[in-house]
Amino acid sequence: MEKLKKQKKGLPGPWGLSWSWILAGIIILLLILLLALWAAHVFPAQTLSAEEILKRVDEVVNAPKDREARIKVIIIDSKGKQEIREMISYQKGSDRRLVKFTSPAEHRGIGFLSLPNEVMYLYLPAYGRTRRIASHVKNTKFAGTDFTYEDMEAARYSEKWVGQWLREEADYYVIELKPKPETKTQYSRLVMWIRTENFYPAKIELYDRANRLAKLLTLNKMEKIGPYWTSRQMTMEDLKENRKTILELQEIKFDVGLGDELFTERFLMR
Amino acid sequence: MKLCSPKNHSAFKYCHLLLILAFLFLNYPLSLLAQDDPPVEKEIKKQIDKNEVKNEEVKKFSAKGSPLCPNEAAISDENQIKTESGLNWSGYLSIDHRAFTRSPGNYSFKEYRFELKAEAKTEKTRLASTLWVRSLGFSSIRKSADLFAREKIVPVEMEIREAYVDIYGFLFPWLDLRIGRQRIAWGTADRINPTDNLNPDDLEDIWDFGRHLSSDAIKATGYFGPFTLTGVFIPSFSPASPPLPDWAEAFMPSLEIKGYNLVNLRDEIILPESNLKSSSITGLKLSTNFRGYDFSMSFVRGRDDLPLLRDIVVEKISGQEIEVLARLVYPRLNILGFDLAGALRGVGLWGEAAIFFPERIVGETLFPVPGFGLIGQPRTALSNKAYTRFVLGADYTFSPGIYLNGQWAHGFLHERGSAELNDYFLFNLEWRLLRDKLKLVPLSGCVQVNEWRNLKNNLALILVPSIEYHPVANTEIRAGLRILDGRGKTTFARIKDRDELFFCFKYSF
Repeated sequence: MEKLKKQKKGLPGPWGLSWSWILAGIIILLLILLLALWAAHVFPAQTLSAEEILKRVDEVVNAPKDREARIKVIIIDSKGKQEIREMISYQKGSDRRLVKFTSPAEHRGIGFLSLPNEVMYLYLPAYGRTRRIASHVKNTKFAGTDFTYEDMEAARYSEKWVGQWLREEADYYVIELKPKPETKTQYSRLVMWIRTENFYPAKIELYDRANRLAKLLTLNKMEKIGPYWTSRQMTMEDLKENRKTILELQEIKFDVGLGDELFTERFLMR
Repeated sequence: MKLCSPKNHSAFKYCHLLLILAFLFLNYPLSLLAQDDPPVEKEIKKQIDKNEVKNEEVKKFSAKGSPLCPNEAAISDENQIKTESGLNWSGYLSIDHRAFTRSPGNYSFKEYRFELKAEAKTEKTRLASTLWVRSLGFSSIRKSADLFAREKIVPVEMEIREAYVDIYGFLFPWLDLRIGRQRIAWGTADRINPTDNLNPDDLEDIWDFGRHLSSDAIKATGYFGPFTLTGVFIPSFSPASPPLPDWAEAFMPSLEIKGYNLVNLRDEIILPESNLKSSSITGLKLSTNFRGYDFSMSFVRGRDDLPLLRDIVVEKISGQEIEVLARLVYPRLNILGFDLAGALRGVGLWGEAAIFFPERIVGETLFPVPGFGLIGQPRTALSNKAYTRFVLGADYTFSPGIYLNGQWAHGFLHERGSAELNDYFLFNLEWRLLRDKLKLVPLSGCVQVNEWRNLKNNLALILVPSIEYHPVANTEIRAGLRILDGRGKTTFARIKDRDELFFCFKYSF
C-alpha cells in the first residue's frame, strides 16, 4: 500500500514534471493573469498615450449630439464683488454654438453665433442687424467675463493641440497640450488634469505667450445625465488680476434634435 | 440760408395722449397672444407634454438645477426651456446734455428719452414694439401767454419707433414674414451704409450716425439653403427727419443767387402723390456665404429722402434784395447695392457699394419781369447720370482690449451726383478696461477731403475723444468733446465753430 502511495506521489506528469508542480504552475499563471487584468482596469493609462487620452477627452466632452442650456454667469472681482448675468446657450456638435443673453437689461437680447471656420456673428438689438466679427476678437474677453471668445469655443482639443504625457496623480492623468503649428491661440500651452474615472477634464492651467500661468479653469459638480458626463460648474480664474467667472449650468438638455437652421443669422436675430 | 424749419413739436400737445392709448391698444393684443392657456386646456396640454416627454425619454437627457433624480427632472415640463413668454417689458432712460464750448457756451442739445419696449413671443410669432417718450429741446417761452402752454415750458413728444409682428414659417417653413412699423437695416459697414435706403434717415441728431426712422412695411424673408432672399414693400413714402437748426446747414441744400442778396426765403415741399405708383418703395436682396465671406446684392426702387431744390421762384426784387420761394421735391431713385463681410488673417473686413440711378429732374427759375409777369428759365435740378457711393472698412482687436476700426466712405448720405461725392475717413480707437466697465476712446472721428488736388483748402476734421463708465449694472455714463474744424466747402467746415461738450447718462431696465 505504501509502495502504491509512493508510486502515485511520484507519478510523473507530462514532460517529466510531477502533477503537483504542474498544478502550482497553473495557479501562478492564473494569479498573474488576474493581476494583469486588475492592473489593466486600474491603470489603463499605461496602455494609452497622451494623444489617445486627448481623443477620449474629446469623445466624452463632445459626446452629446447637441446641448441646450440655461447658464448663470457669476463674475467676481478682486474685492469679492459679484455681478450676475444669464444666458441661453445652444450647441450642436463641436463647432456650432449660439448664445443669447437674457439679463441684465443692458445686455438682454445680445446674441453670439459661432460657426465652423471661425465664422462669427454678433447681434446687437439696438442696431437691428447682425454684424460679422473676425477672429481678432478671440483673445478678448467675452461680454466682460474672464472667458475669452477662444475659451468659449466648442472646439475639439485633439484637432488644435498636441498632447504630451506628464504624469499620473491620484485620480487624474496630467497631460500637456501644445498648439499645432496651424492653430491660432493666445496660449503657449495648457496643462490638463483629466479624471481617470470618465476622461472628463477636471482642471486646466492656461499659460500665456510668455509661458506664465495666466488662468485656471476648473470643472466641478460632475453629473451623469443620461449617458453623458457633464460639469455643471466651470470656474475661470484670472490669476493676474485676481478675479474669476463662474458659469453655472442651471438647466441642461442633451440630444434634443437641434436643427442646423438654429445656427443661422435667422435665429440669431429672433 | 436754410430751406427747412425745425419740426413743430406743438402738434404733440393734442396727440400724445392718443398715442399712449394707441400704444396700449397695440400692446393689449400682445398680452392676449402671450396669455397662458385656460386652466383645463393647460392641464390637458401638460398631460400630453408629459406623455410625449416620456416617449422621448430614451432619446433626450436633461436636468434642472440640483436635481436629485435627473430622470424625474426629464419628465417634468417645468424643465423645458421655455420658447413662449408673456409680455416682456424693457427699455431705458437716457439723458443727453450738450453745450457749445465757444463763447457764450450756450446749450446746444438736451434730450430726456424714455424708451419702452414690449415683446411677446410664441413659437411661431413675435410681437415687438418700441415707444419713445421724450423731452427734446428747451423751453420756448416768448411771451406770457406761452407760460400757459405746457409744451412750451416742457416740450414732450411721443413716437412709436417700431410696432410689428413676426410670423415664422409663414405658409412655408422657409418663409418668415414681418408686418408693421419696422427698421430694415441693410448693409455690412459700420453705421454708414450706402445700401441702407429703405427707411428714411433720421438726422435729428447728426452725431447719431446711421439712425433711421422706421417704415410701415411688409418684409418677407425666404431661406433657401445658403441663400437668403428678402423682399420689402413699403406702401407710402416718408421723408427724412432733418437735422436740428444748429446743424441743418451742414446737410440741407443752400441757395445762393449771384448778384442778389436773399432777404426772404419761403419753401414749399412737394411730396410724391399719395398712391401706390408714386409713393411706394420696394426692395429685394439676395444674400449668401461663400468661402467664409458674406455677400449680398440688393435692389431698391425708392426715393431720395432728402429734399432736392427744383424750382426757384423770385417773388420780389427791390434793388439788390430779393425774396424767393423754393420748391423742393423728393426724386425717384433706383439703387443697386452690393456688400461683403469677412476676415483675412484675423482682421475683420467689409465693403459696401450702392449705384444710384436717379430720375432726371428739370425745374425752372422764375423771375418777375415788369410788364411780362413771371418769366421762366429751365434748370436741371438733378441729372440722371448714375453715381456710386461706397464704404470700405476694417477692424482689429489687440489683446489688452484695444479695438481699432477704420472706414473709407466715398459719398455721404446728403451728396448726390459723382461730382459732389467727397471722401470721408472715419476712425475709432477704443480701450476697454476694468472688465468693460471703463471705455476710453482717445481717438475717434473723421477726416473729410473734398478735393485731393487742393487738400489744404478742402479738408475738414472731427475729433470726438470720450470716456464711458459703467459704475453698476445697467448704468452708463458717457462724456466727451466734439472738436470741429474745416476749410473750403466741406460739410463740416460749415459748422466748424460748433465744438461742443457732451454728457450722457443711461439706465437700462
